[in-house]
Amino acid sequence: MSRSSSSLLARALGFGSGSGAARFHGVLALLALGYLVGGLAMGPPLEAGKLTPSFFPLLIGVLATVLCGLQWWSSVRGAEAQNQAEASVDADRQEGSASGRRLSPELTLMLATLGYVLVFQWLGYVLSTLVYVLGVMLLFSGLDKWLSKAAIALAITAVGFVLFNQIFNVRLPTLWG
Amino acid sequence: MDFLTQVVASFGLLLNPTILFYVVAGFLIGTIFSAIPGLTATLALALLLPLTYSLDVTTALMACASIYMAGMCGGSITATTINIPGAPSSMMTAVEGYPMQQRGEGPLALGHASFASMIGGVFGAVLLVLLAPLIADLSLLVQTTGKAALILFALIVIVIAQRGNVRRAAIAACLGLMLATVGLDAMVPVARFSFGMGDLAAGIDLMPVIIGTFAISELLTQLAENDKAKRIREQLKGVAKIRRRDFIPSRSAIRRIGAACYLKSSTIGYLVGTLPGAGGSMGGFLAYVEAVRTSREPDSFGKGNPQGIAAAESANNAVCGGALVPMLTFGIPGDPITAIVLGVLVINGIQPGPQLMESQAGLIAPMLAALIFSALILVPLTMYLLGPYFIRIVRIRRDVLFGSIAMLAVVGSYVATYSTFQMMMTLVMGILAFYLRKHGYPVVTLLLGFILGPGLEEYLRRALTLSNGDLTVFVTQPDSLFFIVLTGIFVYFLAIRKPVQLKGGENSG
Repeated sequence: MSRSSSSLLARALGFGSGSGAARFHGVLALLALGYLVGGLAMGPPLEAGKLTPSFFPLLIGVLATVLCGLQWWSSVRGAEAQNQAEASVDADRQEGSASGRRLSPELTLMLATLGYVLVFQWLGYVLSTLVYVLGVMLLFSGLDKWLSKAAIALAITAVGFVLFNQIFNVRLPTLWG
Repeated sequence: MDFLTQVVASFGLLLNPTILFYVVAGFLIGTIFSAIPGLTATLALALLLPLTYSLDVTTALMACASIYMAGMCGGSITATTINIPGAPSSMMTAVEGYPMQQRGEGPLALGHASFASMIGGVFGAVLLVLLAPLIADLSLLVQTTGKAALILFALIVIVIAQRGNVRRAAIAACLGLMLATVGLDAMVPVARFSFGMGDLAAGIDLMPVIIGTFAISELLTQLAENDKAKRIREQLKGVAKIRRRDFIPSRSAIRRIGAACYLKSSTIGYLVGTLPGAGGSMGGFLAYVEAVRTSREPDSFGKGNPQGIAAAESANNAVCGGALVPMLTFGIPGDPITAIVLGVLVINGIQPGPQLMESQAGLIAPMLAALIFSALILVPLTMYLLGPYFIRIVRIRRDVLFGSIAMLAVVGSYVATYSTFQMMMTLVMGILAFYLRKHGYPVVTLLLGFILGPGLEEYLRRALTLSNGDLTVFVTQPDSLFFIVLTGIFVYFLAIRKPVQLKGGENSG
């Protein structure tokens, strides 16, 4: 394997700088391929002269796989070109960010929301929402003045309760079942 | 009673204090959301969508109409004061509004924007009321093959309207179509892509897709761009106090702009609105370009010419009326907001289509009355009454705002089924949309693919079954042939002709 093609493969697999886009497009291409395989598993698109439930998924699956594959390949090629230009910048960035290997705020918010969804029924609306809203507020504005932020989070939770439970008659889960 | 009479009679509903409250509240929420850079009226509608479950559907649709109208003009506030359009539709307003602000005429620029929004909004809504029944009658001529070709036309136009981003838009549309196939097949009782999960076998609900795509992904995007937002906040602090009397443009200034400019721009906006995927930003842009082209003083544009503001704002508000035409008559939403309004209809068991104007006129007429009311009364009134306070409203604390949005989005998605599955689905859709947006994919095409997918599949399969798999049926039937030719024309003008022009430009350059 030549050096440039092995570099392309490395980029496609998500190693090195500038490969985030290639990795994302690669994931999309895999998703489209998986969908196409799922469509194929449903059986032939035509049976006894009639279109079957697999017809449309196969049509979309082929289209999506081709488009995502092309997009992935373009991004891999683009990342290769970009890599050469950014090689020197990368070295500086790696030095600078060695100490900053923490969860990004976006990932923290995703995990916080996942946690909120998982405990929503179990902890009930009030407690889980209070913690979640406070968490979101702290993510947006930092940890300072957390006590006043907690008071605001409590107010938001209360407004949400009044809005959903009292005005719109939505049964929200409670800690007591 | 004909449709026009029903619309006129529907104004009486606004005398009901509860309905009036929701319409005014919707308008204010829409204005605030569209004024804050990064937030949109689409997000406001997405957040309020779960509440429509508990509201009377007429009231919900009227509130949606007022949010829609507000969303098209609220963006002019920050476009003028700090040169950052609160909504994409106010992009061209910034070009003229900000220079006016710099020479101390910011409130006047907002006054012009408000007046033009009122003209455009009323023009578009009245044209909608007058023409929609006729279009609905014409749409009865479209049969199964024609419907398949029409939906395909809409999807293709939505994709190619994303100029310079067509492949990504096509992928996003495919993702939407893929999501739409999850669940029970429409014609044969077979579960598809459900992985044995009962919740997935029932299909993916529209609500988590809308809330996830617009609200959760917005939260994640805003968090990623938190520093940029802090800079905008700092800029807002420097904006001088605005006086109420400075808002009202003089009669001579309005005369200088000319009735022709208002009407022509409104017509452009309305026509652009009827095209799937075009939206307020394209309407405003085209009307602005036309105003510059026909002006006697084209050099004065870009330096604070109120005519540019008038053209852009009357066009983007007229888009509201135009965009509701294909949504109401064919069930094809032209932009994210009409997609959500369609969601409100579908959630309440109302299927848009040719018969909607007759069978559900009692629901549609009040919505159109609210659209006209919002444009005619609420646009100028809020600008005059709240104008001096807008900058303070826009400076609302981000942590409070996004804490509230997060709560509304996640709890709102629980409302539909009282199951955490919808909440999880909302999160999954939000994460997918966040990464799509991050890598330059237009998520609106995902939503429109998801909405149009079931119709496309159904009509395509029916048409091919009726013709025994003969594809030529699409060119032998006049209705489908019409839409195929129309698709060809749009592809030529939007996707093929432009690169040729660019090439020419490059050569010459």
